Amino acid sequence: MKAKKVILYIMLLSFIGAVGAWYYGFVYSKNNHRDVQKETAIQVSANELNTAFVNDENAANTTYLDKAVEVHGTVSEVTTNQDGFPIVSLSTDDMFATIDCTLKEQKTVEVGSIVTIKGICIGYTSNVKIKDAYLK
Amino acid sequence: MKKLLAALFAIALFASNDVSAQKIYSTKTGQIKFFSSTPAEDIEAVNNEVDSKLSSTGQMQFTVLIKGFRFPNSLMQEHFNDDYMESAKFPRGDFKGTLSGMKEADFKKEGTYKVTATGNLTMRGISKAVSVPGTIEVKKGTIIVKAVFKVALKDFNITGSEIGKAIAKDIEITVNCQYPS
Repeated sequence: MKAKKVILYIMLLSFIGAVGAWYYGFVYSKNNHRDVQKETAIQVSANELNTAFVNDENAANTTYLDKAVEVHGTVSEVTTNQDGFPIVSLSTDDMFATIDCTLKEQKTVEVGSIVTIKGICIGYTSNVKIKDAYLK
Repeated sequence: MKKLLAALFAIALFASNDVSAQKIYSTKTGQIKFFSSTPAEDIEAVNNEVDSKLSSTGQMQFTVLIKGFRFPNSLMQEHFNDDYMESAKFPRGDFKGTLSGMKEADFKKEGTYKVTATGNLTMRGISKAVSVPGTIEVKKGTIIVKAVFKVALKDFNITGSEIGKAIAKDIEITVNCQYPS
């Protein structure tokens, strides 16, 4: 009788576990994406961020890659990506390098204005790139 | 007379130079998707921040940041980055190659051209020679590059228990890059 109870409990627990795993993997993860707005971000100027990647890309990746960052700087260009979202480029002291931030929202940004943009740093090509960004 | 000839020759040289001057098209917002299809599930991820350069003489280059891929499911995105692509160690993937099937003059003529890009695809620090068929459309000065091809994960030493089960052994890559004139 006791053994039966134990088996029943184990079956129940593993069933709950399986449902939990399924829920986390397929339902929760689909509806709950990383929200950078809730995260504490590393504050950095556009120029500092560019300099960090130019000087030592590996070290800069360790510090900034996949982290929430808040970049402040002057808007040098606003373009649109192929999905219709704005990309705000911030100027740096290097005239050929900008910090390119893909916004997650439709927003009008004036060229020449000074802004702070919060997003996730995805790395460096010839420019530092920020995705899922918001204007602060 | 000699002077005149020299001047004409100079003009002719200048003009022919102008015709053959290569033009470089570039974008920072190209799109690359990848798609894995198995009976268990379909997984698709999109990257909208692809850097690419294309010259009218047929050189091409793509650079993609692995952390830039967006998945509908955040857990899959995590597994993709941490377990399969190791994107903290290898943040970039790229392709460098040359184009055949299109003449330099074609870049100025509207139309859709069938092309083949041959070059090296690098992911996770491993380079592999690939040859990829695609199209280039010239439309009002804008260039649109499109290609769909498959990549075998084992070629890039990408391993994991789910490959062959929930994740296909061959992943389909779709390139769609628009280069403003």
